[in-house]
Amino acid sequence: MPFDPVVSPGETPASVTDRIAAITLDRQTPLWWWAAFGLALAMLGVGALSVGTLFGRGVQAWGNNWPVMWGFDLINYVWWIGIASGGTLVSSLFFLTRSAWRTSVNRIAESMTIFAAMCAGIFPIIHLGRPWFFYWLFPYPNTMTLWPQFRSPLLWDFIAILAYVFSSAVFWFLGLMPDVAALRDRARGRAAQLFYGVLALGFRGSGAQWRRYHAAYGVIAGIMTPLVVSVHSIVGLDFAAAATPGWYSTQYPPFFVFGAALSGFGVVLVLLLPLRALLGLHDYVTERHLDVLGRLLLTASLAVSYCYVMDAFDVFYSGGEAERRQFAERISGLYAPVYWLTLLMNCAVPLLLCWRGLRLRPWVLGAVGLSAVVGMWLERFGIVVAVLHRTNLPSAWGDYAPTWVDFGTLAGTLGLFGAGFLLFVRFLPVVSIAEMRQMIGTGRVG
Amino acid sequence: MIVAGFPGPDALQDAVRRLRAAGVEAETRTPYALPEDDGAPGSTRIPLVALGAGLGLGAAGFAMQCWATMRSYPLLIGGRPDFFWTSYLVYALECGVLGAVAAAFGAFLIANRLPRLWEPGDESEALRDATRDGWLLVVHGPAAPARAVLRPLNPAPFEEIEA
Repeated sequence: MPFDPVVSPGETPASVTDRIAAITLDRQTPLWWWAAFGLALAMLGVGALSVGTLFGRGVQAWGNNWPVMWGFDLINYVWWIGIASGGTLVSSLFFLTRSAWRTSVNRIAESMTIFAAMCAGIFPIIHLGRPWFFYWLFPYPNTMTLWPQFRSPLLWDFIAILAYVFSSAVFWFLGLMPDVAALRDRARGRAAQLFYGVLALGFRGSGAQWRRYHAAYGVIAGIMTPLVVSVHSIVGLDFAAAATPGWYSTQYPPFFVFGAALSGFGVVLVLLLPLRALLGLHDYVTERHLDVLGRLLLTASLAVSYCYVMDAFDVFYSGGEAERRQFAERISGLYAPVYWLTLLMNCAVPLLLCWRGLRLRPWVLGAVGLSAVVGMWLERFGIVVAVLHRTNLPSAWGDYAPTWVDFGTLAGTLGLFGAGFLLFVRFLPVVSIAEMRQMIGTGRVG
Repeated sequence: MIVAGFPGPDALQDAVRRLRAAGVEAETRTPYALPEDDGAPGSTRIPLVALGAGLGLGAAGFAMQCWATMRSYPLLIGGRPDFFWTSYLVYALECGVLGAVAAAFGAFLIANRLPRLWEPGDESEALRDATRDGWLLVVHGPAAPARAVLRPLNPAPFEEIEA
């Protein structure tokens, strides 16, 4: 069956530039934007109140307690960084494979990555007993003549996140430069000219600038792809390096990378589909994109399903009594609904996308994406809480219940993500104008 | 300074070649990279700079961890030896990534002499089309020989700007 091209026929470099720039420069801020931004700010306020309470009362304000010493802090951290990783995969991996469909969605995926990584970075800092000393993680010369503990996996996380956030921000900004230069040259108001002029840093599209731009962009894309795999593998290693039944497994690094891809593709869909309708992007986000993203989500879901099977297989293959007891608890104990819901939302629901007719329906695709996003959060809950509440020693068993501060902090990060993403949608081009121009100009529109 | 526009990449590259044959250097301004970039001299060393910085900072990160755990602050952690190289790899890798990405971006800015928020060509309305669908060139040198080469090609627009 023939597919739509990745851009509607009739689009030219000029029309693409004008239409995408007009979304930012000429449109009145729509009502839906104000409503969504207001909601995001309200959630951010709840988050600020929760974090203020946490700083005032200490980590006892959270539900974390022995033996479940990790709770929402670790769940949310892993969940957010997974979402971020999925965005990078869309953006950098499919840049290297020269996939034409990537051009319409890479800016949204990269922006999602930036704000999701910011949300993830908050949790390791606020979970510290004295968060104002977070900079002790930096190996800086100090009067105490102390060093960070380089043999601890927790320090791996710190440097991995630092490298990831920095590299993602540079990758995003470099990709934006030709586009904000286009906005600078189209803007009519003085404030807009100054704003986009400063952001463009003086990019003018000279031959030398383009050649160096492509060299730098290609190098960074080449680094980002293995980096994103390494970052989420390191998050997986944090668990696998612990001698805890349910965590101590060599499959954790790839298992986490597949999960990251699933949640990341899910969020891309959840954001892309409403934006397509609200901003009128149907000429740039066509049925081809829905089909490809649906297939990607399905593939990630199948990979995650395989990992769930191996997770169960390992329990019985290893023969460990604690492992078996722990697994029995996961599937039939206090947190069993979390386990079964995880399977339903991450494995069963995405199977709907096997049918092309369903894959091309935006509301089905969006619902499946949302299911995967929620399912991945539940998976992280199961991994962190359900595992820790039944470890090796029966004397070290206990339950976990999150407090309002836990939920408030999660809501706060959702608000931060939403507010940041909405500001991006309002003030920066949501589709890469320069790449779109090149794709249309050189006739690579599939 | 002369600004001249052409209908497409082929005509623009032809004009650049003619100017070069007459001993005049021109800078292209285009909506996307020219397929065969004749407009700018030399190839870019950005990938090499990124590789060098990545390897250098990666090695420095590894060396720093050796120094910290073996000499400056040896501490018995979980029975691990002071020189525990497998544990250093992740940190060293991420240091290398930070170095390579920062170097690639830094080299891009330095080689292009950015940020440069204003230059005389910004006064030309025609040059703004380069970020839309304009295929333009800019000649910074003496105007007379450039004018002689460009006039017969009927460029549109054609502007002479006081630099």
